[in-house]
Amino acid sequence: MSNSGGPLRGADRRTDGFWRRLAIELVRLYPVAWRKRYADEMYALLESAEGTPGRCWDLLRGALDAQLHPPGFGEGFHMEQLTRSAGWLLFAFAGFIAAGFAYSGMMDDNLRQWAASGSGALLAYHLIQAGAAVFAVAAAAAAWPIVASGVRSGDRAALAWLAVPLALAIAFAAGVAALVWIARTNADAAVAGRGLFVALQLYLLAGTLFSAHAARRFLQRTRPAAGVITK
Amino acid sequence: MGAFEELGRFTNPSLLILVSLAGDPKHGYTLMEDVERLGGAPIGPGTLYGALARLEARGLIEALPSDDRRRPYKLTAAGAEAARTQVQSLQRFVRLAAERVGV
Repeated sequence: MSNSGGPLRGADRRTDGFWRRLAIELVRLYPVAWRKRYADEMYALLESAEGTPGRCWDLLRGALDAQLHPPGFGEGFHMEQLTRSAGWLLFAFAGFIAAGFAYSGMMDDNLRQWAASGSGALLAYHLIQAGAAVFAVAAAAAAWPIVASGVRSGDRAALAWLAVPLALAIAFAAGVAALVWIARTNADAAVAGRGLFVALQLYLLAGTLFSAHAARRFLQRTRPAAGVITK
Repeated sequence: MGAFEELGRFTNPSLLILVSLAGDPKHGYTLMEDVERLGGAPIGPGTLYGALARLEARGLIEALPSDDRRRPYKLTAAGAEAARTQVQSLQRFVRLAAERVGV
């Protein structure tokens, strides 16, 4: 996959140019401290090397890793485990949100009609519910090592950042309870209930972004003082 | 395994980088090509610099001053020792594995 040194022609050159430009742009995703130390070298390398989708993907993974291991992050903190946990947490949470959108798509009044026609809609409805439950449990399991490391750190400020997603999750659960209450107590409130459902999904998306920010601040707070990169 | 503990997916690239630098100092692009030659598989820039940052933080390699953007790296004494230890360990494994599978 390395650059053979020969000139690229026509479509190959255009494709190479696109991926190379994208790769150079992806360096922006690295943390500021990381870019100060390594960006010039990386730009020099990327300008010399062939641009490929594989290299862009590798840079994306590297940027995620660098965000989770910002320069100054030392050893002895089981960061590899935490990185894996964060990856699984992101995946499980994305699955949970996707299940929510799929669920909202099936909230139409003709669900019963589909079920009666034997289209399998009812089965899909239950599968989505089961999938959401599995994703929620997986997210909790993936979050556990991160929570445990925060508790072990004993840093109150770090734990305060960790409390952000917890508070957001409690507020989300309260919103879901309100939605269920509206649906059960007022049969004419379908429109209001659907509005609340969409609002909850938007809240979930915003909450995810804010939680990601809080998680990053938490990881930065809990970095050990010894064995650091000081460049 | 001390120097290579908790390197996760960067363990193999890190060893390849140390072995590559055992020859002479190299900058990013040359390292990427040499590591590909040594390992038989390409290494991406994100993986390369992820491994370089870890090796530098552990004092196994150090960056040399450079006039242009391409900064060369060289092996430290600790890095050379870590590479030797790891290669010896692999040699032992290969010897035992060869005996067992009858190569």
